[in-house]
Amino acid sequence: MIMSNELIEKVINSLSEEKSELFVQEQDAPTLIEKKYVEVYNGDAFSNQEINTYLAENFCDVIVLGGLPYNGKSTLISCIYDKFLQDGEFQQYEFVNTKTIIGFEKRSYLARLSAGQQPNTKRTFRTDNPFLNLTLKQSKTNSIKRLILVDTSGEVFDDFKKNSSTIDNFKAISRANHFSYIFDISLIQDLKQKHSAKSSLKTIFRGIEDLKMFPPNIKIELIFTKWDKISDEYKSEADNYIKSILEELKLIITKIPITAYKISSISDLQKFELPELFEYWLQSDTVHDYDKIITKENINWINDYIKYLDHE
Amino acid sequence: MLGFPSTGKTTYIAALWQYLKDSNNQNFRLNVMPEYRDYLESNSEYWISCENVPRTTPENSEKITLSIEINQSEVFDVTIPDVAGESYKQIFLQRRIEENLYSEFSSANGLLVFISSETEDILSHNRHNNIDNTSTNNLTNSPSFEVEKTPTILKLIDLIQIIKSINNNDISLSIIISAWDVIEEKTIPEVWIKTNKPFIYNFIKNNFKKYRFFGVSAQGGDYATNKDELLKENNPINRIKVGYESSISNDITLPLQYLIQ
Repeated sequence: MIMSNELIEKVINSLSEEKSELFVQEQDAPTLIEKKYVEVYNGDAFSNQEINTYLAENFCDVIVLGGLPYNGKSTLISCIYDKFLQDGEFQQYEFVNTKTIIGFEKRSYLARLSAGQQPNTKRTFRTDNPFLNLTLKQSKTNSIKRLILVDTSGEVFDDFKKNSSTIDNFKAISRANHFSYIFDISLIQDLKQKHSAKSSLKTIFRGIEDLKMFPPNIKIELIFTKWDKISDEYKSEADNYIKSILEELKLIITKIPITAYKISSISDLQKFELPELFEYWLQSDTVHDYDKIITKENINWINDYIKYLDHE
Repeated sequence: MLGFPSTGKTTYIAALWQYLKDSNNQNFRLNVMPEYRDYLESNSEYWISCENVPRTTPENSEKITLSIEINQSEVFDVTIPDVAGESYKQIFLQRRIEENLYSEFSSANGLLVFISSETEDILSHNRHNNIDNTSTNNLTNSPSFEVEKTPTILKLIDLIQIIKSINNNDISLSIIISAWDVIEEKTIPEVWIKTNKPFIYNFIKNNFKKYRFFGVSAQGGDYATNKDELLKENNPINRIKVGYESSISNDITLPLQYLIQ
C-alpha cells in the first residue's frame, strides 16, 4: 500500500500523542509502528497518594508550612532550594536527591526574577500538589535526613480561618514534625493589615488546637518574613508586635514549644535567621526539649523571650 | 551515553572509533571490526577532517556494539546506544521512556554521563525568555512556568535518578566533562566539577558507589579558531585530550575502561 505524505501526516495528526507515536519506516512501503512507553515518576510535587507511598517506605521529617496567601511560603522554599543549587550544601547538609525537582523549579522560577526587589513568587493554588521531597546528608556524621516540605496553598488557610471543616485540606499537619507559620511582618506598617494579620494567625492556631490536630511531638515556628522591608522607624514596633503575638499565642497553644525567626524577603540566606531555622528543622529530636532550644549558641532575642515566657 | 544536545556524545564516539583503529593501546583494543560500521566510519570522516560531526537526532540514533579485548586476555562486547540528546529532553518533559530504551537502562552496567564544561547560570533570572524584567510585582502579567526551561544540569540529575531507579545493576558512572581543552590544563576534573557544579557533584557522590570524573576534549580544540593547528597533527588521535586526576593523555578509552573494570 502506498500512502502519500499528506495522508501519512493526517494519520499521525489524528492520533493522540499520549497514546502512541508513529513514524514511517520505509520509503516505498510505509509501516506505522506503535512505540510503547513506560511511565516514570512525574518529578512534580507529590500528590496525596504519592506522599502516602513515600512515607510508608521512608522515615521522613515533615515540615508543614502555613500562612495566608502572599506571605512567602514558596519564597522560603525557593531560598533553601536555590542555596542547594548554588553550593550543593547548606548548613553542613549536602544535597543527596529529590524526586520533586519540577515542583521546586515551579516555585523558584519567579522568585529568581526579582532578586533585590519585591519577590513575586507565584502563589501556590489549592489544586497544586503541596509535598516536596529533599534528601540530605549531614557532612560530619553522614546521617541521612529526608525532609518533606508541605507547601500548602495560602487559600487553604484562608478557608480554614472561616470554616473549621476545611481542616481536611491540610491534614498533613497531624503527621508533621514541624508546623512553620509564615507571617509577613512588613504588614505592620499598615495599621489595618497589622491587626487583621494577627487576628488571622490566632484564629488559625485556635482552630487547629480546638480540633486537636497538633500531634504530640510537633514543634511550632513563627517565621516573620520580609524583615528587610521594615523601615527603621517601624523596627522597634515590629519587635514589640512579635512579642505580643508570642504572648497571646502561648495562651492558646500551651503545651507545644514555639520559636520565632526573622527572615529576609530576598534570597540572601546569610541575612537574618534562615540558617538557624533550617538547622532547627533538621534537629533529630522530635520531643519537646526547651533547654536544648534555648542553649543554642546563636540564640536570638526571640528565643530568649520564649525562655522568659516558658519560665514564667 | 547520557547527555543533552551539544555535549559531545557523537564526537566522543567518532574519536573513540578512530582511536581504537589507530592506537597501540594494548589494555583496550578492538578485537574484531564490527561488520556494519557505516555510522562509525562516516562520523569518523568528519572528525578526521576537523568538521563538526553531525548531531544525532531521534530518527538516526544508533546502537554501537564493539568487540573489545582487554589487557590482552578477556574479550567483551561493549554496547553503546548513541541516543539523541533530544530524546533525553523528551523523557524529562513527557515523563515516559520508550520501551526499548527502558530495557537498555534497566540492564546497563555503566553510564557515560556527558556534562558541558560551560558554566550554566542555574539561578538565572532571565532563563524564561518572555519575562518582563521591568515588572516587580505584576503577578497578573507573570509568565507561566515552562518546564522545558529547567536548567540542563537539573534535567540531567533527574534523568540519572530515573535510570538509577529502573536499573537492575549497581550501575557505575564515568562522568565526562566535555570540551576539556577550554579548561586550564592542570585542573583536576573532580575538583573542577566540585567547584563549578556542586549540586550534581554532591548528587553523584551521595548516590553512587562507583564513579569517576574525566575531562575529555574529543576534538582537541575549537574547530572555528584552531582547525589548521589541529589538522597539522600527523596522527589525528594525538589531538584528543583526556584528563583524569592530574594527568592528561589521549586515551579516550579511559572512561569506558573504568565502567568495564
